[in-house]
Amino acid sequence: MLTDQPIIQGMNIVLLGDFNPKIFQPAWFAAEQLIRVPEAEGADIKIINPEVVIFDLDWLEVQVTRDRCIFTTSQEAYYEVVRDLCIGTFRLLRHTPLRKMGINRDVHFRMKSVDEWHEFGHRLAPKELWNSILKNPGLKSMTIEGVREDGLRGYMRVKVEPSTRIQPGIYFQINDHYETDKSVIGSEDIINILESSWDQSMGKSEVIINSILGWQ
Amino acid sequence: MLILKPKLAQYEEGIGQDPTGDPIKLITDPESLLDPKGILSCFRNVEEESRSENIEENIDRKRTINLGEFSSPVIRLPAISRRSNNMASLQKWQGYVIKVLNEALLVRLIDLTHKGPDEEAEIPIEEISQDDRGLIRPGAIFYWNIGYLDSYNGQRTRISVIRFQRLPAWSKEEIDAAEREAERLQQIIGWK
Repeated sequence: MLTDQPIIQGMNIVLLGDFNPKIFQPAWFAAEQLIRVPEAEGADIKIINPEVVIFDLDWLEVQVTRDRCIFTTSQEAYYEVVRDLCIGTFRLLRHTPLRKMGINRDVHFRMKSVDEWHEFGHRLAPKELWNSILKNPGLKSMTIEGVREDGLRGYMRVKVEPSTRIQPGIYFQINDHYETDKSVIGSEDIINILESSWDQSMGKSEVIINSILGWQ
Repeated sequence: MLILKPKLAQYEEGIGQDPTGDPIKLITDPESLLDPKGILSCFRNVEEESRSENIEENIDRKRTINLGEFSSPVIRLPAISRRSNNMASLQKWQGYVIKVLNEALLVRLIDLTHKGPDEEAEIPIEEISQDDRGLIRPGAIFYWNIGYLDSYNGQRTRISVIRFQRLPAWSKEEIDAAEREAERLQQIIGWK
């Protein structure tokens, strides 16, 4: 659990593979009982065509193109629901080739003051080197990548930036990235990883954020 | 005419970097498709993997549309509504139904917030959304969150959300495969 309340947060699951976007319509999800019928009926459909589908529910956004499928929520109560939706979808569409997956977190925290905000940036990126090169250097973005510790293929990537949504604020993006063998056909490998790695992924991303914020 | 260029196809044809995370873009000028380097330069974050750009990301969309050297417009479809609500949980449980009573559910709750001991509780059936009541049965899994919902209009509301898990039933093919796997493991272990 994050040790302080984020002001804005979200989670998304990004799948890379080969998709038939037209399948991914609200009515299909409801027909398969993956979402409630009234939710499907009230969906805000942005676009549905053979190349791209985008629609929103109150708690979910779905984007599907030929090579990418994204389930997004900005409501913490629905993180597990979105995971189940993703698992359920590709249990049904088990012949859909899935090659890569990101379990991603986005979190914005408010800092107590502008001074604390600057101090945080200086701690992450000390300015001794930059002071002699640039006038008044400031951290705009930092991305650090680490190898996986679970033996799976992929990496974990952490991005930290000043928040553009909250001033003064800090924005974190955690990209927990998984890959499977390119020769794999179907969705089973990636979906099994999603099921088995979920708790660890959520826990790890919270540990990372709390550690960077200096609360641990 | 709108043409969507599948970046994964480019990558697999060996003409681009690994495509991930970029927002959906429609390229309206077919001629720009002739130059693969040009196409890739139209995309932001070509080095990124399995991430998406959405409202939770730290992007000022007006400033991140970068057409580079191209004059042809790259249309960014709306990634997510700016009117979406944010919800942070104060307390989170996963539960399952032990027994269905007349007007309540006897449930076991696993604390996902503080990793405390499991608890048993009775939840009135009227707390369950009408569309989830068909999912109620012994063993059914649900998620219960209490927290703050911050609406796009600035209103904060304390809410309680109970959602029953919706997963497709296992197919006969999957059950048969699981049984075969169980038999294989049984033979390896040597149980009789």
